[in-house]
Amino acid sequence: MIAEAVAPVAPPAADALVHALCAVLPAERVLWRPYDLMLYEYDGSIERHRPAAVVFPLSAREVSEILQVCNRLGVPYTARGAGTGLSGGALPSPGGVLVSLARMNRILEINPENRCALVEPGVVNLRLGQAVQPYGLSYVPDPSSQKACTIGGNVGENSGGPHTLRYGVTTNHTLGLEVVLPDGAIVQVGGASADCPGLDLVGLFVGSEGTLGIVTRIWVRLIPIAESVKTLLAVFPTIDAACEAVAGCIARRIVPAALEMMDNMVIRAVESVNPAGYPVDAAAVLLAEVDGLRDEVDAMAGEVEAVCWAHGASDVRMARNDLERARLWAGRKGAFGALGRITPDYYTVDGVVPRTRLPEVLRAIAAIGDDAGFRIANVFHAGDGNLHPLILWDADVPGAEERVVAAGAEIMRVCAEAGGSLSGEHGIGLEKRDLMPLIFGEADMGVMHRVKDAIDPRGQCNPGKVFPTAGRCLEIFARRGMAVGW
Amino acid sequence: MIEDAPHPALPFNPLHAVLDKGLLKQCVHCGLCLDACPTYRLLGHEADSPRGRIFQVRQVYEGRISPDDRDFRTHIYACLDCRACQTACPSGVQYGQIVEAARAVAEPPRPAERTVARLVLGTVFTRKPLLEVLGFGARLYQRSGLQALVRRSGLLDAALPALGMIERQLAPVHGSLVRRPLPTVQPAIGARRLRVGLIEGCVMPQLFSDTNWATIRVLAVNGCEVVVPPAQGCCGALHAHTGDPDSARALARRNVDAFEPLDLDVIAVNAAGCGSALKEYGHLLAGDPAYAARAAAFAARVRDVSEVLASLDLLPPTQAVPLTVTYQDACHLAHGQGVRLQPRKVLGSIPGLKLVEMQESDTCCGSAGIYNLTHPDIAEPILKAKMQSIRATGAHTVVASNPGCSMQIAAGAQRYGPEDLQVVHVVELLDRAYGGAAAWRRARQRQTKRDANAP
Amino acid sequence: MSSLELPIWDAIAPGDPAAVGVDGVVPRYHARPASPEGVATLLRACAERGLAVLPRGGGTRLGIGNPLRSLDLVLDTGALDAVVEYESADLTITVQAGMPLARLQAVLAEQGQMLPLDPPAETASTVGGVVAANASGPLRYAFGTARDLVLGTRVANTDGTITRAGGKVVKNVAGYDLNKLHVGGLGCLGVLTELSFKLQPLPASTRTLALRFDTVAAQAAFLAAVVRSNLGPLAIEALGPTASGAAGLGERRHVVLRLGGYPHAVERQASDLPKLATNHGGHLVENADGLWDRVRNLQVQPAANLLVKAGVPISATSATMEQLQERLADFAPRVWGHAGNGVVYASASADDERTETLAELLAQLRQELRGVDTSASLVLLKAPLALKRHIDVWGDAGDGLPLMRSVKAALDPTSTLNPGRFVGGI
Repeated sequence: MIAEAVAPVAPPAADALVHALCAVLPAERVLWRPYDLMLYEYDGSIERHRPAAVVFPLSAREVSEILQVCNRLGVPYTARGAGTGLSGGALPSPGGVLVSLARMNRILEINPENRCALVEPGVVNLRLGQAVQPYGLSYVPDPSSQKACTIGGNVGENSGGPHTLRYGVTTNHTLGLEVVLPDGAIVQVGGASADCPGLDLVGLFVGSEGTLGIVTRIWVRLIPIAESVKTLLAVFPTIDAACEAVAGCIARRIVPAALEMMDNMVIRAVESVNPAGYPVDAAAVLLAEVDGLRDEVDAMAGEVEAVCWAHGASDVRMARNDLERARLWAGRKGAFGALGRITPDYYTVDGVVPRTRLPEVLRAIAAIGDDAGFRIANVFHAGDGNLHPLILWDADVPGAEERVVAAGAEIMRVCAEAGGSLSGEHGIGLEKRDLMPLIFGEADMGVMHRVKDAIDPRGQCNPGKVFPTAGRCLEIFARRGMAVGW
Repeated sequence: MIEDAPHPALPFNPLHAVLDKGLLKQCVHCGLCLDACPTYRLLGHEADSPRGRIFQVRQVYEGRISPDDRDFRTHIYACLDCRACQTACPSGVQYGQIVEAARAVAEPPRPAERTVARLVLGTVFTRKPLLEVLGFGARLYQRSGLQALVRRSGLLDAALPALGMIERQLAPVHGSLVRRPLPTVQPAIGARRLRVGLIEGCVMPQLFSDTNWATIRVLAVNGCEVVVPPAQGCCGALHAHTGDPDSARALARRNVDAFEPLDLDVIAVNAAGCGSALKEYGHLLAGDPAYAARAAAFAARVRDVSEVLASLDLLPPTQAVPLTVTYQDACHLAHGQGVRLQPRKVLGSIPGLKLVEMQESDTCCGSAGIYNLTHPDIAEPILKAKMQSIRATGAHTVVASNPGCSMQIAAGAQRYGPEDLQVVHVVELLDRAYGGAAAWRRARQRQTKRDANAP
Repeated sequence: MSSLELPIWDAIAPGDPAAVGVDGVVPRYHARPASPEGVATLLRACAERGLAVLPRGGGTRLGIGNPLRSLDLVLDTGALDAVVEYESADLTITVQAGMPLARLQAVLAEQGQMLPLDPPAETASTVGGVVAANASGPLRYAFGTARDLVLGTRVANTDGTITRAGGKVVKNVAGYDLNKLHVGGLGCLGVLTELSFKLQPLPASTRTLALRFDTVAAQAAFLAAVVRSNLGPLAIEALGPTASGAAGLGERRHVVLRLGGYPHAVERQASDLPKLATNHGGHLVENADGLWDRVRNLQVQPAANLLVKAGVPISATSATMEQLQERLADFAPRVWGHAGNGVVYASASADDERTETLAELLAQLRQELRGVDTSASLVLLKAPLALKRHIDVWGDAGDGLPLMRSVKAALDPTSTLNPGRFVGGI
């Protein structure tokens, strides 16, 4: 397996590594002292791996030189943006080099005529959105971590967000990439022009979790900001009713810009940290947003509202202004973190099911929680069928770990059996690599392997991610919950 | 982690005495704070991010690294304590409390920093007479032309670079050379609606005495009786921020004692940094049985002056103030106290005034207490970026709500332009719209007459 | 039909090799497997025997690509034409690759839905063929191209396996997005046997607007404005004089807009967009029934044996149209484009005598486009064999070519599929 193909670097080799890296980068952009390395052993996930060195390149050429050093010394390397990922994709391999792209954070060009922008990978998602806003344009993918996560990281994970329901995820908004390939070659694939001949390598790289090369420039698509936006909050007495309202919207041919659901536990957590005005006694709320011309937005909002009432909503409220809208969204975007208030630890699961299967899948997930003795909170992109069950647990309870592991895997199995997927936007990374067989057969994985080997024959580019390890099964993920193990 | 075993040389972990582990555990290391942190954005190093600093504090808490570790001290003191991360944090982590606890157990890393901290905070801020003398000296220095002369000569920079650094922060501020002490009690003009205690501050009366007077005037014309107890003193904010909680607590007790007997509806403060610290007195003195409840009661009454004004049905201002202004959200107001809309609401009530929002108005200006003195290498680029945002608005007046920010931005204007930039407090603009000192004198005369004629 | 002494004889249904040739080459065999497994078995057998295979859907786009280095068997997916799974409430469908696109659209329309992929000549085209050729139409402005609509694929590989990528759900980041390699991969890496698509509701109301412009500058200015606006038409088609004539609009420059959505929104667009055109010196003209169909089928022109497609940045669309119009003037081109996407088409009749001139001209045009943007391209979607022998139909595939070769070598190591047809002789 790839993970085992690269031997950990022994200390003497590590010195050689640091020397070699300092030969291609100024010393202040190479971290190697244990104290500094300690700060790069975590990301947003539950795993921890300490790198042998951290480097801060400023150009594709420097990235290329770093990879050549790694190739010469047989050291694995991993790209890192802001380290907000939840599947461990940006954690280094043991003894590996962590390539931080945080300082390659320039917006190189905004071209409103071509509705595209050229950015470096370290640009923070929200900052790109703010920079193009004066042109009446927007960058659509808006993961909940958008105020910190980087475009490079978004490309690696093919990130989504609430507003991708209508407008698509990162891959639908990536026009071209400059990539440093594992052999050190700097190539441009795609670009500002339409329909480049040949294989769609842009599509292959997006979502490959940094295992095929390191992206150093990104051409992103921008779209005009809608003339009018309306945001509704629908309150439901049961989760089933809320799910049925989601299916009802889709069935009625309404595709809102966003359609998000939060259950009671999440509502209460949000209201306790940063009140967004969600009713704390509701079983579930749907946050729906419609956009377009003002002439159609009223009609769409009216239809969504009607569907909600028809499915038993106890209340439907419309945000009256931008401030109210922002407040409703702030609650949703801060929902994960807010759970920190009601539980010592929680474990975020990311799965996708067909939208019509939501009610039964949510019931199955609740049953899994009951059986295992955990509360499970739900906040998710309902319109996409992209679930985020959050298993609440306490790492101080002996034996809880194993049960959380099992519950998470069980939820994945339910999603897979419902015809869904293991991840809608967080990626496979380290976390779910051993669950891949739930949805892909040996032959399916074999094709992915062949592609990986074709592009990274040495297996040094972010090894250990995406592909299942032989034998090491489920114990790896949820070994410790969020907030523990620091 | 550095080592798996607890630090062998540390039989007693001082951090355990000043920090509740629960505060650390609230952080889920999601990283959403990173881009909100000015030092992370400038330095791009996880160790200088809020998440990274919490991680380091946790390592100390768990005994894996020593609080004396030079790296630890460096990163903990490189924090601006601007609290932008608290606004960004979805888990409600009380970062300020964590970093202040860390500073309580770790010395500043640079000798100069320790000297400045001791000199400025330990000696000057705690002693009112000394402040008085130095304040007069500073005003004299600025207005006599000596400052201009010294700056032109470059002598100070050549002789004492550290002092030169401090000198450059002493931007020319407006106001009178001889300060007029505030009244102990200023009755409300018209019917009394609130009885308001005013925090006078320590730097404010020296360099921003006009702001304090404007505060009293706008409160009084809006029906507030303003009480300024002479027994009050420095709020202790800077001491808490720089790792001296004992001094901070002593100062807090003095203020609780000074205000407690006065039967106040609210305690108003016009300096954001002080307000933020005063609102945390309950937490600061939680471990002091004699003061815990009293401090909490004190803290519950504290309001920024803009909060007080925004909560009142403001007397409509009569005079136009035809200025284009931009508003700087002081960190300890926006992030520390969540006060953003109220100052804007007050500005919105002023006829003729045009507010142009700057980009990232709630990003720190680099002043951060004495940070600009101790970390000029980091503070300077932060200030430069702030001045760029200000220039981009086209406004030549900046509204700020904290003396540190005002001085920093005025200093920034000298270095990066615009040179004619005015920095004013929100109450000064409102005061102008009410006719300023002249109208105030007339109003008071009328009031005195009415009182005299009253049966 | 000659005999094929292979153990897979059963998989081969009778066909007519002569009828399925391409670029003048007649294959020895024509197979029409009845199941995905049949496709896989056949591929493996061919790979083991060193036979070259051309996968074929409806046969409408076989002209795409360089002449094959060799051809032994045409593999027809036409028998794989079933709907595998259609859950209309999920707005997704899974169908076999040989399903004609037109039939798929009819199935969807019954539920008020559509696959927003509208390449011309869809009557014969199969979904597999359309996706493999990355064919698209005007609606790509609003809904993207096949890469944005394909959720999952099942592919028969030359090692005899059938593998899955992606899934049936609308959001999925598990594993590599191998779907993207097969979209536009022209069947060079594997043969698509099944596809899952993301669907759209049919717009409640639609309308077509034709706007006339007297100058290139006016047309260009309007296009720039409409691309930046949030008025959101479904499609923005720019037509040169000849193309306008063919669409029945009169030989002047036009922009044809397709509107769709809520009736109120369409009304608003129909009122505001002509105003925007007027601001830029254009005006609304009456359009006869069937205009939209004629516009989206401009490619279908049996008399023309040359069809080129330029891919440029959006803002270069008008200039590129003019460039093609002028430089190919001797060949009386019909020029039009998806102006909101930076895609320009030109069709013409090329006689064999002027092959070399034309090849030089096209090569020169490629150079010039590259000067506009490094990722710009000019691809010959249809060309006489003589021309194909003089010029690579794809042009320069850019920096990514070595990588594409590696991927090809990894997934079709025997070069069984379409040898020589794709970029760089892959």
